[in-house]
Amino acid sequence: MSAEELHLLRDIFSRASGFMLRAELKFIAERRLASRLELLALRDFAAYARYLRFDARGADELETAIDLLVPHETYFFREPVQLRCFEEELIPMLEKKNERSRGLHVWSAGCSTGEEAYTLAMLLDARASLAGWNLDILGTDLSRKALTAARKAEYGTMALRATTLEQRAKYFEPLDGGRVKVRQRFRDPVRFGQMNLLDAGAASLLPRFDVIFCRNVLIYFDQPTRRQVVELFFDRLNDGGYLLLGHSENLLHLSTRFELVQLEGDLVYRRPGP
Amino acid sequence: MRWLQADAAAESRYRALDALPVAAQAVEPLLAALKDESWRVRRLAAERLGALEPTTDIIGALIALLAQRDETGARNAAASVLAQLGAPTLPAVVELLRHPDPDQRKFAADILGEQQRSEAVGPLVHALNDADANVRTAAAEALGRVGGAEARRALELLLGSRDVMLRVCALEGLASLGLAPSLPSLVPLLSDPLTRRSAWRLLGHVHHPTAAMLTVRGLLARETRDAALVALGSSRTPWGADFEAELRTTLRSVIDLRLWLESALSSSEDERHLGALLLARALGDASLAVPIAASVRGAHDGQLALDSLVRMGSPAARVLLSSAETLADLPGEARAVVTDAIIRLAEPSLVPLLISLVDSGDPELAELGARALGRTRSVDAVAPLLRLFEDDALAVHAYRALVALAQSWPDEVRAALTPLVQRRLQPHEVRAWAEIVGAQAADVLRRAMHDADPALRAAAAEASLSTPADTHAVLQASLMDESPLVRRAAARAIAHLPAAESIALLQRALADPDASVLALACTAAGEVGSVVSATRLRELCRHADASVVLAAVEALALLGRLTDELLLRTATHADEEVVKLALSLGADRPLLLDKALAALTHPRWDVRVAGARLLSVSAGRDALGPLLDSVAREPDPVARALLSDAADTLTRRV
Repeated sequence: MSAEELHLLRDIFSRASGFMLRAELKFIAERRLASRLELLALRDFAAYARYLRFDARGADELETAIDLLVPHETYFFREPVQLRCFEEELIPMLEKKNERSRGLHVWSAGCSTGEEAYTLAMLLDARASLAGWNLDILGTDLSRKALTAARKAEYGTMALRATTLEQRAKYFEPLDGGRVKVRQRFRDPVRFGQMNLLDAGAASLLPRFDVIFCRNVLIYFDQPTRRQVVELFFDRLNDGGYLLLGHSENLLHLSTRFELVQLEGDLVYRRPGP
Repeated sequence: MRWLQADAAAESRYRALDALPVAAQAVEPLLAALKDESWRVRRLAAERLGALEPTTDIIGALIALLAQRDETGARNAAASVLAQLGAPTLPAVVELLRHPDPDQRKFAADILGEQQRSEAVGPLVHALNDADANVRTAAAEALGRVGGAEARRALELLLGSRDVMLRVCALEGLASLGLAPSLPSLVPLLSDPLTRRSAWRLLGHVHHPTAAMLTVRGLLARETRDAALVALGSSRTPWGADFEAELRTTLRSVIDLRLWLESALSSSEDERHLGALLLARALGDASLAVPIAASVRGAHDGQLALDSLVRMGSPAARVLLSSAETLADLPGEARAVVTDAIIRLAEPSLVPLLISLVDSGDPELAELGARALGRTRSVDAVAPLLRLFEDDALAVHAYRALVALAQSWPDEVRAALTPLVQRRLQPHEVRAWAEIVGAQAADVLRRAMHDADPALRAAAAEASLSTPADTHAVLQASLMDESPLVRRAAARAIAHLPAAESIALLQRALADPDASVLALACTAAGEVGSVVSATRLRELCRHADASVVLAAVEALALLGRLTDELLLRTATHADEEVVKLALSLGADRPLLLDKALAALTHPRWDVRVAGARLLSVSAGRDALGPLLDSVAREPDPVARALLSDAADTLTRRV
């Protein structure tokens, strides 16, 4: 793959999804997409770029390509410090704030194969005072393949690498071959949907959320896209709602509209409000 | 709870600066902004100043800023701008090397090093005798960045300096320039604890048997082992068989070799990591397969890791496949290497492990398993592939794998597929069946053709190429199908027919109401060489859909029927892909020179590059000015390099 071809693909991916195919990803792109070229009988990556734009199956292929290049690596109870902060500090505050509406809306943006969304359901379920509340967890991702896996709710041992034996017994039912399935009780409050975070039309269909989790997603976007996505999050948060990013991410140079809140266990962003 | 507010004032200063036009009136506020308390504002100001025409006033103001001791941020920012501005600042910066203040002289040496201009070598060599140690060191470092024969001589002389910092700077400078000094000047520095690391790094650039021997000896001693690995890494190239054999023999006695190598493979120091990779490759120890794969960071080491794994053969593949859980954890680069290695190393004994991969539950690993099973040439791989037809994502890989396996086991694959094609059909089963049994697939194709599912009918259209007696009838029926999916499959298939058999089918396909079918029909017309379709193709060059225009123009070019008039019209099309195509097809025709010149200012970088390419092969000397201007104003670094290549080509040609 020449620098020019990489650049062409970068433009296409970035326009379609905000995903930034940086020069250092050339090695992965070359290898991952070579099998697509072979499958589609295309002579080079320039032809592939044109296929993505003009072929009737181009839109599907674009999704496949981005799927191949964006890592979907995630697991249950990832980043425990942040989750503890959600569980022990944010939920009690939101419980108080929403005591009249008795509803809690959480968005796992870029949910991949669903581990984060189900983890949040497990954490909310553990709080007895939320019994009878309308708990709604939305997981969205661009990848249809990932969403199919998320809906299936079946996982292998890698997804459970940070899950204790006690948690395994409580939250999962065993399947053959060492695999597990999330118990129905924790699947119930979770729903999934396909969404491109750059798609303003799709975003307008979303409700307002109390908490948005978007961990290790912004790192794959270019700066203008990050700004756009962060604006979307601001727009979709209730006043006083929280945005939780991955540990290597922050809103520096992206937005000054959020307040940075230092909790006992973590730094989180908050949409100003009551 | 503590609430922290972002620095709104800094943000507003940043935005105000960002809004300034890139023009002379911006100079004053930009210079003032170099003193801003926010590094972000300073950085923006430095970037903007670096892009301006460097006047004497700007250079003078920047030099003056370097003298402001209490403005550390501003001094660094000014130095960065002077470095960016390059040649026009050279006299002033060289003059600064004679400033009474050693701080100013050090800034001057640093800036000259950043600028990497050969004219600075003389003054920098002179600065090696500066009274101030920091200035001497900065000058030596700068020479290591500038390079050239004179700088090299000066750096080699410094290897014998009594000042240890100068010796280290000389070693690092020569190493970064990839210049090997004489061995006698280097050897004493290998054992000096203060210069050891840099000296070994430089030793990697010495291509001499004695240097190789010293490196092997260095690997044996615990205190020099890491430094010797750096020497191996800095050489960056795999070694010959003799040297590798010597390494294997010599290192056999090292007890903790594997553990040490594992740690070196994960080292964040680039040369140590590369050295470890080269050494692991030479040792050929398959038990290192996972650490080798996991150590990959990008293209520079990825290929080396892949070659090493492939060279280790199936034991390496077995180790990798036995660590499926670890594989799922690997970062993208490492997974890419593992995928390639396993595909290339697939062989019959790996089938059970590949089946486990298919069953791993990880979609990517399952796909890898399916693809690799097809390359094992093992009959045991057939059965596990059959059940993948149920999986939408894996079915295509199962189909291709079975077709590959049928080369070795035709009867077995056929027998295994028979019960499947007797039941409810799947599209990829139809494709596989037709490719494997050929003409005998007619019945299955007929069933697929009449199925309610358009995907099955499309599969039948494509697969009909394997049943020559039925191809024409199937494609004819497919082109009349109500589903564009089926008609597209038929149009794609036409491209594989002999020209004479395609005429009637093309006539129908080129009149299809769906643009996606039309585009494929145009491509097919070009590929089969259907000259009789030229008139229709010319009509389609006016189609509203750019994909049809692209395919029609390309087909006409293939048929040798692309007229000047058509090419000119194509070059003014509203879609930039069509314009690019015209510029690439018109390289041998002077009529597009004006269009190519105009394309140099197109909003899209790839159109600018297409215009420059046409100029580089067709234009005369008068195009050089506009082309060089376009290089100078090009904001996109990749496009700038491509435009610059085009300018070089034109320069050489005219």
